[in-house]
Amino acid sequence: MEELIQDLKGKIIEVLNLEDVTPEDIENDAPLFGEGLGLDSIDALELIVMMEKEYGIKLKNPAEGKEIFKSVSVMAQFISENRTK
Amino acid sequence: MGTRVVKVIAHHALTPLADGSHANYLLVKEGHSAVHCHSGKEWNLAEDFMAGLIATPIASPRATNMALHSIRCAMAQLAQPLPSDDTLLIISTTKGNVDLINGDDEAAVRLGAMADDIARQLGLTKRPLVVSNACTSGVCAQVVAQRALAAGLCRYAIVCGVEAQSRFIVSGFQSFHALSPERCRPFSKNREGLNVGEAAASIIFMLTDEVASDDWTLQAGAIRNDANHISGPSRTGEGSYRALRAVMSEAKADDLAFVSVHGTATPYNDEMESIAVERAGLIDVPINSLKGYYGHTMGAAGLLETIMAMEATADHTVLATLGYDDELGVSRPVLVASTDRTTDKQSFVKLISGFGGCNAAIRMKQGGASSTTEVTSTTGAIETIASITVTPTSVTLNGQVLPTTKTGDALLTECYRNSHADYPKYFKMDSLCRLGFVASELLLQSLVEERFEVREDRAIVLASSRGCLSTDRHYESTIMPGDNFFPSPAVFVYTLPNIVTGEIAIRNQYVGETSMYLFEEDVDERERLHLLEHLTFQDPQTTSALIGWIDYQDGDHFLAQLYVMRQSLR
Repeated sequence: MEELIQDLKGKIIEVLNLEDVTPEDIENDAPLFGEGLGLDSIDALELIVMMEKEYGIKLKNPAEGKEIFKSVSVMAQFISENRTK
Repeated sequence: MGTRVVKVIAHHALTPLADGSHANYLLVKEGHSAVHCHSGKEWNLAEDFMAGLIATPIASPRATNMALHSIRCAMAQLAQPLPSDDTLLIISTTKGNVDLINGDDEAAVRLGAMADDIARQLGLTKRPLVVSNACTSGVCAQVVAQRALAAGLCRYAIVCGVEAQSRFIVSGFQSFHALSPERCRPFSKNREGLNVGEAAASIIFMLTDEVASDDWTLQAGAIRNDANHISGPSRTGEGSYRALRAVMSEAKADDLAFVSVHGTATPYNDEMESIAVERAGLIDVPINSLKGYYGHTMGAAGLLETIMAMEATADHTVLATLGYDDELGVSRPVLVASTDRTTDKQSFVKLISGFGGCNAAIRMKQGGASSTTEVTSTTGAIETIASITVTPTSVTLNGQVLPTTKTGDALLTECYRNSHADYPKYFKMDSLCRLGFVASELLLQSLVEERFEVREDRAIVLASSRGCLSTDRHYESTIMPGDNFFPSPAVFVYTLPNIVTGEIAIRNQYVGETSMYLFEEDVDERERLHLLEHLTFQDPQTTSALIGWIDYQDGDHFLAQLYVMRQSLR
């Protein structure tokens, strides 16, 4: 799981173009949205694309993202349970 | 001389329903819809989609030929041919012939080249204009026509809005999860998103002092930005409210038969419009959305919906909002209805909004000139108070070359760092927006004035040749058929040329006008600036403007030449 979390942090930084953010800046249990990383609705949509592209997980309803993108830990847990690649 | 007004002398609409304005109106009045389910497989898309598509074959370049057909049909209604040297063609489109993006010919997809081609085929000798302000373009283009006529730049203006649907556009809206799986339901609590559509719609305007009782006149128009988000509507309806307030400054709510709103049937758009309508004091005026009949025809929507509004008002009718089911799903008690209503009023407002935070409204009226607002060209003396030129190798601010060490894209990021703007969103922007951000940031930092306060008096008006073509290619690379089909919403949102004006508006909290024009490069810079000044400073709220040229070809070829201008006399 720790490996997936680290992998995920790198991917989030890459696909969301968080130029000045390092993996160490993202805490495992801190909220991804709201304060902190300054992510918005387009970033949430891009994370949905990333989940499909990298892990083969297709979210039918983007509203599900709200729960899944709570934190990197929650996201990693969801991915490990649902990934198809 | 009598009162000078801008009046409609011909119009035409080509849609999936019919070829002709009145034929379209009759079918809409009977409740027909162009929106049907289309096979994703046939379009090489992952999912089926609902859309209003023209079934009759149209030769490539499709958007060009749709526009030509509509304009020719409108011109054929005139008793005399238009003077070729005194008629300005204004094209409104978001994506033009983007379906040709994979070809080798860049000119095929440059919007300015498309307009030049249409003008040439029509025998018009005046240089045409393209207005590309996302989905507001069709209303903005009419505002531009009014200003061009009032300023004496032409005696006649042909305004044509055109949008041809493509895999490019549909996949982008799918990536935004913005498309409804069924026919859209504007303002209903059961709405699930929008349908896209295609159409070409044209209106020919002239400046005149002769108005008959059944003539339509364009009374007022305004363009305003939310300065909030590049894809999400303002939660306070800021730009739509301000645009409505501007066009209603010399009219009463009681004069209006209805407000033809945007009503895309996305959750946020319809909610935003209900707030804007209430804030503008128009909550007691009936509203309607035509998206259930045609889908969202994007660059054509402002024209098509204005034409349908003229037809309906002349027929004493407020058209039903097809798809609305009497279950109001917005927070303000707007007067939307599932059936036609009658009216004896003779004017209406057309409201529209789009990506890049832009909003626009026009007010139109049928009847004599007695109580008609006279068009005036109010431009006073304009002075340039700051200037910047950014090329891949140098930055010149107010005549001084700035010390830099990098070149190309790296130069832009170096300038961003040196500006200490501390705006991480810079790294999410596409190249055109980065160029615009850096140039505007350095330029505005050089002025002695308070920044980041909400202001409506400064417009952002830019012109470009390639617009967002480099980002169009980037987006196209995310939708290759096969295993690499992962349409990127974060790239798609930047495939509209006006997003750069929205980014600058958001950064600076400018809620005034934002406009993006496209021309070919061969127009002389002074001539271009002169035209932009004329078009920009006719809005009475606009007393200064960030104005100029911005073009991005690739990392080694780009140019921004921006100015801050101020109007000293009125």
